[in-house]
Amino acid sequence: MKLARILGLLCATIIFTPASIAQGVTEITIWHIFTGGHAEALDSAIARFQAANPDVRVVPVHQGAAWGDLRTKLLAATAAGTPPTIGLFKTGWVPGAFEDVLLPLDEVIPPALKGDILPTFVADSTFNGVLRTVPLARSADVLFYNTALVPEPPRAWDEMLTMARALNTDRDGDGSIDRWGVGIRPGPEQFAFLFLQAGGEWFNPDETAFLVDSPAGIKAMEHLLALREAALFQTGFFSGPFGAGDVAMYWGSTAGIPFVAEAAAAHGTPWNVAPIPAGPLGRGYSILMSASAGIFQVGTTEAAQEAATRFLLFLLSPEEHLQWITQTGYLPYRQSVIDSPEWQAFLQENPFMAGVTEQATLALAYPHHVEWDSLRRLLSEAVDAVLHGQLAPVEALHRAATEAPGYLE
Amino acid sequence: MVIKQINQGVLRAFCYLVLIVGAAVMLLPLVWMVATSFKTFAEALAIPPIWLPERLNWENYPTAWAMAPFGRFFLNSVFVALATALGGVIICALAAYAFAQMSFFGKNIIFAVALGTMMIPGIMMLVPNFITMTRLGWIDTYQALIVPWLVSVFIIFMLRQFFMSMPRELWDSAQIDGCSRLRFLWQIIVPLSKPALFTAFLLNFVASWNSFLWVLLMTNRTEMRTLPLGLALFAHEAGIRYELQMAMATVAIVPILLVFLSLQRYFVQAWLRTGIK
Repeated sequence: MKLARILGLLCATIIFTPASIAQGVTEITIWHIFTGGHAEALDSAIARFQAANPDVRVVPVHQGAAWGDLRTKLLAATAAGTPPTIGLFKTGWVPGAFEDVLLPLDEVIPPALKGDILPTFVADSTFNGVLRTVPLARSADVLFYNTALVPEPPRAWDEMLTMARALNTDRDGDGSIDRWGVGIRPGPEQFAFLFLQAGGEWFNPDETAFLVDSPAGIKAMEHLLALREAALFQTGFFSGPFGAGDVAMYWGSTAGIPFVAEAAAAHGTPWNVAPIPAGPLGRGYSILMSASAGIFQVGTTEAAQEAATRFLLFLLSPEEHLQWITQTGYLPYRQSVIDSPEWQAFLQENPFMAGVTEQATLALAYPHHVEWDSLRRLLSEAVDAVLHGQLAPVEALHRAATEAPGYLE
Repeated sequence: MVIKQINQGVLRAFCYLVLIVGAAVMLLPLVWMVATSFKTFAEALAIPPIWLPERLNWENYPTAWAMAPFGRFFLNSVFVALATALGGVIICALAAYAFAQMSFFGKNIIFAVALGTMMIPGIMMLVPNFITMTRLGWIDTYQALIVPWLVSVFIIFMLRQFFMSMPRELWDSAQIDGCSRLRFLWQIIVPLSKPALFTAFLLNFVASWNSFLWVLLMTNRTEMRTLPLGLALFAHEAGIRYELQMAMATVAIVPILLVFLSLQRYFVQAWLRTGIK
């Protein structure tokens, strides 16, 4: 009888203890679009966090191949009141749709940490004076170059144009170029960084005019058009042709570094990274792209928000930040990490990251305008019209500037 | 007479030429897909494009298969597509029969309103439908993937056109023999409507098989997802593993091809009988 009671007590303990332990675990979800190595990097970061924080379970959920898919899902889930705990956001999504549903982070991010993040990254995560997101997977266009063909990368617009023309080669003598000096995947981002490099300002002081048809805009578009005559323009990714030695240099995202590394290794192509060649102002600006992470304050419990805050602070820690950027190729943004001996040691083994680091300090963000997506579309149409020979740079940019006030009201 | 024969010969040759060119154009993407599935990463991204790989890299298939639970994705796709196609045919056939052969108050207005819903862009209904599914508690369930797609106004319209071609005398005769509407539909109309029903099945099956955005919205757990979402795992914001993606895409179209090849004669008959060209 006594034995039966002891066994019964033991069974009850075994049966009910796991449940009682599980009740103390807070589950948080993070929605992202990472695949391959980037997904593995996130999974390993989660594993380390959970080992240090056994009361939190982080569930990563892949939500589509493109940022647009993730945005659609976030919008639908927010409208239904069932958002994830943490979502990844491109800057342009936040104004209007998500700004008020994201947890303000000024109180939870220590001032020392905030001060250590590169100012542009902080500014890009701040909306109407409130920090709503933290940088996580930020990228920017850089110049990938084949060191065998380009011993020294171009540092200015004219230099790049000259090198592009000089490196165009007809290797098999059939009359068509089969090795290009420069490859460009055209889009509004390319025009945008050329515009900023030329000293352009997006708006007038009261944001009632879109100033893309200014002299800076025309200069930027004319440079893009000049490159059109000398370079290979295509909508596909350049990592493959670059790795195969068919393109000597190209503007590409730092997020594509794993693809470049793989393609280059397959062909034995030596390569490196440099900042985008500088414009008239002597600054090689690039546009800050990809995403930051934000915590939903609507549709999530306080316990989940607290756990999510701990997770983001973990990811922002120097050790994790170093681990994350070395595994993914996303931009480094903590000054202390950039200055650390570990980072310097990493650069010795991966010299291309020096160019990435330099570009991180030269990355500029898009304006936080609620209609920026529509304005960006106007830029995209202008770039298309010029590159397809439909409009001259002045006409295309003037058309964009003329149509913009409808979105600025 | 000879000239007439020559003219007919030239016309036939021209028709065959047009059909061959058309077939080649339609087959080109499939050929590219299968060829790319055997390429290396570098060959898949080569410029100018390489049509045929240097050698057949069969390892792309097991490599791609191992990158995600494609077995589960495959089963989910088969189950959801079959359930949607079968259920959709049954429900749409009932509605189409009512619109085609029965008389009731407001029939034409109801049909016109139903057709009018086809004017609404699907993208506008995504968020309201997501909210509905959330409130029903159907997120991450098979019901969310199947039930909303059991009714297709286009299928109802197509079947209605087909059923309208059936002579009314059939129902008159059956009614005299004491046959109910449901029994008449099941035992008389359905056996005579195989082309249209198989076509409806095929269209529903393909639409469900290829569905991406709806499945993405309705599911969060990996084990509930289908093949199109699995294919998205090979894409990254800065690059795509085309050779692996095409390997899985080749695997993904096999069931579609099997279903279409087995039902294609009904497909052609149905288009002819419904008058939809």
